[in-house]
Amino acid sequence: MSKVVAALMCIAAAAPLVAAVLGFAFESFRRQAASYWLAVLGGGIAMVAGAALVTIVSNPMLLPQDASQFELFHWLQLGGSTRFDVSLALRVDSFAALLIMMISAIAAAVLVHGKQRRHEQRQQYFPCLSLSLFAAVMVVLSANLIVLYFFWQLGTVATLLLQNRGCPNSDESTKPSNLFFSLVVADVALLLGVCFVWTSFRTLEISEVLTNSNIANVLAERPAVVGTICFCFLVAAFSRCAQFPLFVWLHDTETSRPANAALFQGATLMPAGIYLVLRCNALFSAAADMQLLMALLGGLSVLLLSFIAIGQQDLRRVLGLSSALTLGFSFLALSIDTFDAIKAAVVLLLGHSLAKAVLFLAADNIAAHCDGTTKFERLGGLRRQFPKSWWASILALLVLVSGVWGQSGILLSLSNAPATDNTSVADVATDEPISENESSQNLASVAGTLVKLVLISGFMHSLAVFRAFFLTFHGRESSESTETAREATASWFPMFALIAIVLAVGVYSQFGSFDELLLRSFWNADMVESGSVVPSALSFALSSALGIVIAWMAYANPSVWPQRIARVAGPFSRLSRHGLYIEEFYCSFLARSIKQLSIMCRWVDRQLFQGLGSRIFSRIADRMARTVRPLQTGNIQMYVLSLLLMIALLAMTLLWSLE
Amino acid sequence: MQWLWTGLANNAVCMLILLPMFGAVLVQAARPFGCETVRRTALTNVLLSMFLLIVVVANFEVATPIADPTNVSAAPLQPRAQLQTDLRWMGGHNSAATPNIRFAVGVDGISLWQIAFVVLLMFAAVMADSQHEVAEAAKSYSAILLMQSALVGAFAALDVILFCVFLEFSMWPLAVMLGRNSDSKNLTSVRRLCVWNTISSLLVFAGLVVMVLAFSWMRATETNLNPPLVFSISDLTMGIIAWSADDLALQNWNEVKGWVFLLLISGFAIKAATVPFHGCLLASDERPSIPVRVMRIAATLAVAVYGIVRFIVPVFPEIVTSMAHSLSMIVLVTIVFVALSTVACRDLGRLMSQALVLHSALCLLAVASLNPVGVTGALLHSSAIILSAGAVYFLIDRFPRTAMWRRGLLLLAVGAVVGIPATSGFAGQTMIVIGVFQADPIFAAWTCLALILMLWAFARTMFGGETISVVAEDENHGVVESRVSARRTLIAVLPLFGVICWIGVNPQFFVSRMNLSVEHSMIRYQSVSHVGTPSVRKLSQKGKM
Repeated sequence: MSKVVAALMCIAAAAPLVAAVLGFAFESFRRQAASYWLAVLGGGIAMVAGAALVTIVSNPMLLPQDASQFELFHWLQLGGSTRFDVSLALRVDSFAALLIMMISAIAAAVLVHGKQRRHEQRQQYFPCLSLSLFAAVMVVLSANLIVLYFFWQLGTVATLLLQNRGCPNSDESTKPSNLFFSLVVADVALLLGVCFVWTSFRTLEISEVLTNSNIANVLAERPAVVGTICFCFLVAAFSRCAQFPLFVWLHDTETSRPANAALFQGATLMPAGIYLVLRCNALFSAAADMQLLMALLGGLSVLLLSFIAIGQQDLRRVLGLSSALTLGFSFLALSIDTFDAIKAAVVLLLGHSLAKAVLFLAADNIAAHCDGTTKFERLGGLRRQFPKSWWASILALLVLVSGVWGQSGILLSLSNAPATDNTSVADVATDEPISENESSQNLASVAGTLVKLVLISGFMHSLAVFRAFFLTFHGRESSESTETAREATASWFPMFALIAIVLAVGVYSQFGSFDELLLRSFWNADMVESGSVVPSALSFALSSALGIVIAWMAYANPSVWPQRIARVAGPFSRLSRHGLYIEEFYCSFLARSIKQLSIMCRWVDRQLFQGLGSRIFSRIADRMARTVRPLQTGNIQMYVLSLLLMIALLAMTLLWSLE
Repeated sequence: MQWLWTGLANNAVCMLILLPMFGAVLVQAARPFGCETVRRTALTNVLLSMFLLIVVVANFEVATPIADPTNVSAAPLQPRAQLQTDLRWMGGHNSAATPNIRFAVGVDGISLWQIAFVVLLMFAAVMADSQHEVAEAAKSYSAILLMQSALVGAFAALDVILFCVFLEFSMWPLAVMLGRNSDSKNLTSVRRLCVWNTISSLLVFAGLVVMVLAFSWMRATETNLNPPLVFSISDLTMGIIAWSADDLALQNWNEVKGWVFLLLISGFAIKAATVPFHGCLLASDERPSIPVRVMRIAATLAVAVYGIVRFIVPVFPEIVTSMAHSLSMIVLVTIVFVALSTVACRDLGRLMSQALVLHSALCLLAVASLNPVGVTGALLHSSAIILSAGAVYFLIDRFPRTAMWRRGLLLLAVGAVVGIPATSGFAGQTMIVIGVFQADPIFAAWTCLALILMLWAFARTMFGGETISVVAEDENHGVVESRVSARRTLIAVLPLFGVICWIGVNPQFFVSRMNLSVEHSMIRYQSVSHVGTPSVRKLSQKGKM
């Protein structure tokens, strides 16, 4: 069965790669249709392979071991004392298989959805999509940190290409600074983390790094290093998941086609960040401070991003912020480090990715009929024209805010945080605790605050997304939204297919078999006796319902209350609308200062090194030339005499040296 | 046939040097038969060189790395250069009165890929070059072939004097070509470049000659005051280290080693176009043709890194160890400075030149990290960057803007320069960053910052619509010529892209062949790197507290 699993892993990875390579070749000969169908085929095959992997890997009867690893070849190996060994190995466990299936399902749905307007896309758009999918699948399958970094960075490249390709407006495509910097910050943080891992653990194999004995050894020798590694990984994950304050790149994806945004935020970029933290869960368990930092930053992200989302005037911007803050919930869950919390984070990741893809596809339908814009001032009353998008959106929104897909589990885990014990990881291997109950104690002191924060954020989140929903589909019909706008007949299928999958995930997560599936991946997580989830679910549902009701009262029908409230809460309203002025801060203090510094360096380079230095040099050269100029008389005898003198000098030197 | 094959394989390196020289003569001889004959002659020559290159790589034995590099005494002798050709050139073997200078060439792990990539690059240069006048064509092809011969000779030389001869010789084709392609405005900067390069070659020559003499002084005894001069590179580098165990010899060596080090490091630093010696390189980049650009990058960056790893790293362990931190700091400042300068640049050609200066400094920083990962990365990167830089130059100069493949290939070539995955740049830069990190994490962080800035500059230029100041020569000719030129360029660059991707996907093939030589060069530094760096030690102590 291991061979079958290896073959399936190769198929899941190779299908999008082949589609990308052949797609680039076909597009070079202007065969966009062939490239499109290749991309669909690649995504479809990857999805089927992912589903088969889930079936096999989650079943102990079929695959007794928890994970299956398959080595392709040695990518790099330096011998001697260095032992720098990087092998291109693929590793799959049940969580990885689940993630591959989800990623490829979303990619396939995005591709099928893009069929109608495939001729509008720029050249090499579909191969870039396939490349992005390949990178995402390989990040999940990587068994080595350098290989993971390799495909992580390939994802960055694919995203930048996709952003550039997918945008029909060339002016907009030339401004990828925020996206570029956020992705590159993530790459560099990951690389530095990998370097720390290598210098401390002397291995880059993820499974070897995460063994309890290795972590305990490093903790004993260099206690601060594990925290530093976790910090680097956290920065990488936060940057990829657009958490506060690294969320400004979301604005760049809004300028692109929503289908891209669906892929970035639902399938490739954001899950990679969460996956990194989940995969390195054992390291984070040993770094109590980092867990606390993750909890606080996750909580802060959730609160601030939901606050910002309320004031936005663009459907896609609201959806993007909603994506980011939902992943903030996941980070909050991962900081608790119990099995229930991890399960909640996984369910939330799956539910959110699929539901958000549906919402972005619905936004794409709308934007296609409104000259590409999704600003609320140009939308309104579209329910009649887009009934299927309306249904898909309401279902996806309910998935996001109901709390069944993860949030209630997080609330429950937070409530139980004081009772958790972090000693299990160390107990397995070393009989000594890797870290004491410091994390639990720290988290316990802020757990109450975090619970309140989750509830408030849940309220604000539902208010923000349903405000966007009502402003788009209900309310006053905008004069600019065309009367003739009609939903394309084929656009409903991918949306409802994804809805079906997300509902299936929700139902499946309630069964014990889902726990067993996750336990095969996260076997070392703490199993804590928790109470009933019903109170937590009810409290989250109530807070969300409150947000929905307020949104319905204020925005479902034309009303003057929103403007009045905005006027009363003047400064807060402006802060929310401008995203706390974070982007302006980046532009003013970072980008501009780098540009000024660059101009200064260029000036110094030209004036000092190339200018002054060269002038001095040429003066010396000129003077030397002028000095010997009198010797150049054109007199042959003079030259012969000089030559003889030089020969004599040379002979004397030689004779002297031989003596 | 067996003896023929064996003879060919054993002398393949020597033939790689002599064949292009012969080819240059043939090209000149073919001038009366027209431009196409000249071109075909040159092309045949580089194709034969490619065949010889395959023979060299196929016959190069992959050695097993040293088992325990920390145990210096247990380490084997220096890995012997393979495929050697050793001929008496000047003097006799056992005569103390005359110098024993030999025409000895061979290949080891350090020089293998430098030779291979230079040959590959020159093949592409000949393939893509499309002169229309017979005189121009003959001069251009001859210069390329002579350059190939000189560079391969410099990398393959096993004798100090031979190395210097080829190093100096490599300047002349470049000088001739630069002079021919320059107008009066640009001539000054071209002249400066040539003068600086000559100065660097002379400094290296002086340093090596003093090293040879110093080794003789080290071995002088009361009975033998003038021991024979040793010019063999391996004997010299190993001998100086071995004789350093003797007190008297060490005393003699200590008197001159600082000066030798200074001469060599300044010579190679000028060659590598490090700041502040980079001005001439950038200024001479105004209107050169592709072969000139290609020859220039091969003659500067690759030679400099090779020279440092070949001569400075194994011979001066004490000086290098004590000065590594300060040198790294200086190089790092220049890296950040150049990276910041690139941000203001929007011209792809100029940006490429600045990127080369940055990469050159990056390789020096990696060498200064004094660990096998960094040094291997530096060697691999310095040899591979000439391929990607060459590919960029070919594509921006020789391809019509409308060509179908141009955009995609240009993206890939630029991607290799900035280090995107699955290209040579990724493998090299990752190894460099890890090597530098091992020496000092803060330096690695600054290096990453510099790479981000360079990446940003390229991203802005590529996605924001690049501006290329160099007017494509093909635009002056008709559409037909453009198409022919584009097709030739495509054929020329495809092998480059093949190797670029090969290194990116499977760097092990290349690294495994340089492993032992690099390990051996670094053998004196292993104990130092095991102790850990100041930053790491500080972090550990902080954690323990």
